[in-house]
Amino acid sequence: MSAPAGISVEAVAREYATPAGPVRALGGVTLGVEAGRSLAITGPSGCGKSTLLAVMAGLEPPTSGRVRIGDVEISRLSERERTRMRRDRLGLVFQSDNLLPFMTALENVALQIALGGDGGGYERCARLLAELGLADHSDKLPDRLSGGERQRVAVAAALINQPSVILADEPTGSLDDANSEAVVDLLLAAQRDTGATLVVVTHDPSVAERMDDSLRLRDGRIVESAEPARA
Amino acid sequence: MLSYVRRDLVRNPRRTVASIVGVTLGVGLFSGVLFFIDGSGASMTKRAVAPLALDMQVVLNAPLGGGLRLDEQYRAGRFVLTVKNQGSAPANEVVVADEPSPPLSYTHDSATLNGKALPDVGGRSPLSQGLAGTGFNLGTVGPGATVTLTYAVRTAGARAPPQMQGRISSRENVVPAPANAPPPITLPQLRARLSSIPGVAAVDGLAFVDLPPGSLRAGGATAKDTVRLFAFDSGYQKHYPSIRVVSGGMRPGSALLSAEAARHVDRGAGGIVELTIPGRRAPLTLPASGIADLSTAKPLFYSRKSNKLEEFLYVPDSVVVSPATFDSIAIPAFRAATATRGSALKSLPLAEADVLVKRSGLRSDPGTALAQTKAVAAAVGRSAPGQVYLIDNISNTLQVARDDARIGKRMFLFLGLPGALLAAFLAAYTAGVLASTQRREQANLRIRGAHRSHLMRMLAYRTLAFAGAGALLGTAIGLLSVLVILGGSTLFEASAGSLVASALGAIGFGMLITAFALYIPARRSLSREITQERGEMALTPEPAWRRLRLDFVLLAAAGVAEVLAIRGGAFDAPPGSVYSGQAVTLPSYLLLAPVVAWFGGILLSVRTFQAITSRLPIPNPPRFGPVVRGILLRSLRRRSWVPASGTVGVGLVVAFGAGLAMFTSTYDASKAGDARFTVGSDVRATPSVLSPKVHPPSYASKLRVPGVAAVTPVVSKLENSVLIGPNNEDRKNLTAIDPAGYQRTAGLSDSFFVGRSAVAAMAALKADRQGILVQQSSAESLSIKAGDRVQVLLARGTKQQALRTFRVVGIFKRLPGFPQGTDVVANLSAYVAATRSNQADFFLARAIDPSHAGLARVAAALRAGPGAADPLNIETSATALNKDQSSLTALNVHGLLDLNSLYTLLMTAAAVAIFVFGLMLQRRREYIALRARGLHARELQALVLGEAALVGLSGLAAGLLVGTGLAYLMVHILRPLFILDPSLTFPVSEIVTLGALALAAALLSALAATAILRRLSPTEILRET
Repeated sequence: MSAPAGISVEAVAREYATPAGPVRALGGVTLGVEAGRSLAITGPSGCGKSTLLAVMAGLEPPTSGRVRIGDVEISRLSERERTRMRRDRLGLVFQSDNLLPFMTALENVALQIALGGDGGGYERCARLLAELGLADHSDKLPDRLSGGERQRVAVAAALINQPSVILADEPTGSLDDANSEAVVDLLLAAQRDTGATLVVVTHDPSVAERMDDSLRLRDGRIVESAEPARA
Repeated sequence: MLSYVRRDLVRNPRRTVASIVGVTLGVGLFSGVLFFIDGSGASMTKRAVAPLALDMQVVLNAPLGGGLRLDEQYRAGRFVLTVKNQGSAPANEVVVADEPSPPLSYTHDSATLNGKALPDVGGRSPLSQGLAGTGFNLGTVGPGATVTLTYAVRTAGARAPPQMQGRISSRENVVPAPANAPPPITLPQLRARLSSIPGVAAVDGLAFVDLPPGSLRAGGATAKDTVRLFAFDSGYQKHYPSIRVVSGGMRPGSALLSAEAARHVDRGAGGIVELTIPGRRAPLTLPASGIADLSTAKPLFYSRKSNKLEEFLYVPDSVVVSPATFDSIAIPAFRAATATRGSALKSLPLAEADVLVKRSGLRSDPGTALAQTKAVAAAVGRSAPGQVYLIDNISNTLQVARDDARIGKRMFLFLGLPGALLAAFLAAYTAGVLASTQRREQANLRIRGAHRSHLMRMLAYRTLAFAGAGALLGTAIGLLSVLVILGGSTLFEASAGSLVASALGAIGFGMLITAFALYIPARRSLSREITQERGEMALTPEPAWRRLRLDFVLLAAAGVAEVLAIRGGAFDAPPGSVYSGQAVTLPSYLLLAPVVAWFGGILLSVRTFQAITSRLPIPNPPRFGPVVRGILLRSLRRRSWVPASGTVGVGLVVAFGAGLAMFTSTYDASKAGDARFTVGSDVRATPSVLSPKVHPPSYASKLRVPGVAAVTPVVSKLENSVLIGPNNEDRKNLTAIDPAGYQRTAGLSDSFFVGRSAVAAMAALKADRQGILVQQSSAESLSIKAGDRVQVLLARGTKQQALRTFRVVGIFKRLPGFPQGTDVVANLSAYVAATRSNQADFFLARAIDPSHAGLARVAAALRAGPGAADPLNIETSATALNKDQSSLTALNVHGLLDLNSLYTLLMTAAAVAIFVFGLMLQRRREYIALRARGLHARELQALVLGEAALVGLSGLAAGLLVGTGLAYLMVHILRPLFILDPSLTFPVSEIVTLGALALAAALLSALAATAILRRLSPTEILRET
């Protein structure tokens, strides 16, 4: 398990080159998430939520500004170092499960361990899947699982290395209410158990409400930052 | 709708290019082959007629002329036939034949001869006896005499104008002449008539007759052998340059002597020679005006017998006189000789007008050119009906060339057909790869209210655009590539009409087949319900061809075609002959069999490949294994049909390219092997007839110039022996060789001998000096077996003639070095001892370096060395190859190979690239997810590269395997084209190049694909549902 790490985003801007000229997705976003806390990022479609998360995950470099995960400034790392960072310290969950269709549920989770250089770890994966209620499905290929089951496998893959930071982009976007709740429970439980920092991009106010903090983006800028009102 | 499709194509350039590239290359190859056929076929007329010695020979039926004539009239129910001899010599064995044509019939016992009753013979008219309708023999009709024959007829039905059907022949003019024929035409009259025929370039008169041995003398010297007396003028010599005057010239009233004749009578220009001519009391004395080398004069010595037109029957002792001398002296003498009762002339004069057709006016297409020469031949036939017969060599040759061109076109078409099929396959494959990306767009359109008919129309427009653009572009590229390979001058020799037809054919066929390949799967996809689609998106969807066992069906069909062909003797077709107008036959179904086997073979290979990959061992829990290998093995095992589909594309292209390279290489080797077989070895040195020296077998040592590994002397002539079997005897071509030297020099194969190896046969001949080898069919016809003792008359018709007994030590089928065949092979030392002849006819030499350059060096060394002082005619296997007469074996297969190789390489690269970019399209989310989860770029690169390399390698392996089979089938089909059985040749460098390119294409495509991956936005892709 990696040590808990906070996230610091300073004046991050992200522009895309298009035939019609540059398009600004993020316009100088600054925020901080303390280690072990959870943050919900909300906002209308196209406001830059997913881009902000991709920049935090090192999937996309910022055009300007800085991103720190713990004491590492991820925005200054090389691509190779960013990959290693994701492999070792980050857990990523997306709206689509993004499981590899030719691997069983167990293998999809074990892949994450293998990416870290450990060819074993099946028992740990099986245990985690069992904890997530997927003990009977571990040898199934993804196309034999329901949407909720696939997303739970994806969450297991993200959590198996006990990351210090969990980044989730619309993790419940394609799930029904019951499955949504179950997935959010899983993420929060993991955050709680490991002390990881959790950032969730969501449209769903009920998901946002369950986070420690939330902020709202519009046109690539933070328009509101608050501790959500608990129901 | 149209504008949506247009925007779709323009705004997705990568997808559009991927869809068009396969079609373009496939149609490019197919159209290239069609243009290549046009260009190659256009030069076939020129190529076919180039080696022709004589275009047309118009032979006089009655070269001796004479005044024998038959008039026939019909008067009141009677036919009256009047025979008149208007000449100055008697006509002997005069036969008159006549039979009334229906509805008229002969009235029994009505025939009269000079007014007296002529009895019926066997109840039939004496003028039409027996089943053969033999005529009545009048005996001798003296000069100025007239004989009248009559017979009555009755009619059995409607009256029709009576036909005059009488014919007359005599010992002097054996060809029956029709009644009421015009007076016999003379050679000058015939030449004048023929000269005015459109399409005729020149008409030259030629007459000759063989005189008995000893007919040529000078002083005390006599030419011992048969003498041929020719009559032609200087115009003839000018039109047929193989008649080489080496000293003096041709002059009226003089004789031009062949080099051998001059040597035998020891006279040169200025000397006096005497010719004894049958029927003439005193010898003809003529001054010799010059000496000529006639040893290669094919127009003079080609056989005039219809069944031996290709035989060069050389008569060394020849004398040429002017036509005036021949007409005024030889013809009357022979006329007198034939009139003499009891005279038995072995040869009668032959007179012909040799017609040179205007070759520059012949159309480049052999079929059209044939129509032109046939028109000339028809006009020739009308020039003197009943008085001449025509030997139409040029039409026979063009007929073969036309048939060869048709076979060549068919053969090339079948070689090009895979191009069209590959275009269809690549189109279908690309469509399959792009289907997943289009499915989403189609779903969106449906959600927004598009009907299925809208989607169908859009599909039709899109298909039409891809197929149309690909076919047009492919045809343009095909034309361009043929232009580069053949050159503009050759390509544009073809008529504009045929080029336009080829272009339209390629565009039409290309559009049809690729549109079909693009449209059908996409339409099927549109017609299905979403649930069915999802079912098909399983990890290992089994292709339809596997379910239908198409691979086994195709291979079985090819096998059945082969078995039927073998049983039907299709591979044992007789060799073609340009003189008899007989072309090689190649049934179409045989050409189709390799194409069917090609497709079936690749599908079977891919079935095997899939079976292997689906059983790949993957690490079992609790091990995942090394990350790249772990992912790759699981992907291959559980999605084995994905690389298998890629393997089909690469395998088809590689099999086609490799098969073609092997076929061409074998074709070349077989042609070279045939040329070497014809020559006898690498080099054949024949002492020139101009050489006054004797060339004993030991002369071989003088020919050991630098570059020559071995030389051997050979004695061989046509019909120079008589082989006497237990029941029969026959004239045979005998060859005498030094067995050890011949074995070292000539390329001997065990297949040339019956029941023993080449080494054993030569050893037997060497061990037994009184041993002979006999050719199989000769042995069969004379009932001779190995071990028999037989008599052979050696050096037949010469002063060295000798009868000896030999033991048959072996039977052979054929031997190298004797294009006109040899029937008996004797030991040279025994031959020399028996005949006391010390003259070798030619020498065979094996070169150290058999390449064209090496042979050219040896030929130059021979000419500069022993040939400088003593003229030698040198032929090498390279020069024999260039003189190849068959227009089919002379096809520009290399040009075709260049064309196909270019497209094979491009299509291999395209197939691999389409596969890799297809993977990219289908799996980009998978790859991006892996990157997001921490897979390094290099690891991802290794993953893509691993799969691409596997497809490249397995496609290569399957392609080479199937290509070898394909080449074997194609070579097998072409067996009738060659003298020797072709054996498959493996061109290592071409195959290695092809393999290297396939792998390089896989590597480059994988690198490019991963580079593109880096440019994709992971945020967008990972959010796709």
